Amino acid sequence: MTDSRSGRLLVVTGTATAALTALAVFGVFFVAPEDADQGIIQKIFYFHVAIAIASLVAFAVACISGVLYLRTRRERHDEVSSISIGIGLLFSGLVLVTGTIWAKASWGTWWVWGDPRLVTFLIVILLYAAYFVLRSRAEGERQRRYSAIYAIAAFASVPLSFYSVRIAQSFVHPVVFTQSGANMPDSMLVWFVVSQIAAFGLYLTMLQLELVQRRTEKRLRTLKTRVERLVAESPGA
Amino acid sequence: MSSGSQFVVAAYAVILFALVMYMVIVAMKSARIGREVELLTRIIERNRPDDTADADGQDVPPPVKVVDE
Repeated sequence: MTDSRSGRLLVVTGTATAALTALAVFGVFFVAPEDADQGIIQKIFYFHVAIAIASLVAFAVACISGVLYLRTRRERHDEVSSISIGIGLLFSGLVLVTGTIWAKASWGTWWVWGDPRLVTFLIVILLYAAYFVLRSRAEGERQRRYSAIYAIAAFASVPLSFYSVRIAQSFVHPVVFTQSGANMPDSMLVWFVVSQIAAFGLYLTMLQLELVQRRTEKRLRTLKTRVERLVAESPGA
Repeated sequence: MSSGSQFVVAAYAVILFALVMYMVIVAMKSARIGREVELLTRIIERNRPDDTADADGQDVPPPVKVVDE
């Protein structure tokens, strides 16, 4: 993709995401009804769940990009994979923080070690944090290969976290989406969907932004090498 | 403000803070790239032997002559 095209795409995605986020915040606070059971603290859920799903999608993209890298050995797939894991980790951190705030308001405690959803989600975060430790230990093609294998292997923890709350018999974490559909009225579901699209847009915008930045940095490094050679070969050197 | 709304404000403030911090980091990276480009441009300008080299250090090809048939 050319620079001008990816730049244009970034502007379009960024603008659409900003508009959707503003719309979602407006809808969540001024239009969506207050939950009869939980009251106003239920408003946390709109972005908490949307960002959680977006983070799991980011980890899925990282896994797919890892597979693509191993098949094609194209550097771009490795870039998409590592950036996706970075964004996924940021989103997961936000899910954890907003989740603990919600837990304090709803359950009266910041953390429940006995809840499978909380513990498995923490395991997912720690596993993906270890990805960057592994990545810093190798260089070049080895780094990309090991990272791709790790991104694929770590993704096994994602379904574990997703289904833990459904499989476990005793839990305190609420389940929003069940096999019979969404566990909320349509007037709330509409704003949740808007929030979810905004969260996906945020992920896409961040991914494009970092891809453009990495490509620019790579070109700058090449240019630096050429300039160093030019300076060394110049008559005054 | 009720205790419930305090928690909601706290949760959304955390999200906003994280996004702002992300934007600050991206802006800092972009500023660093900008500074490096500026530095490279100055080095090229200083070491340019004559006007036949472009910014990449490549020789500029002579203008193409159009021959009327």
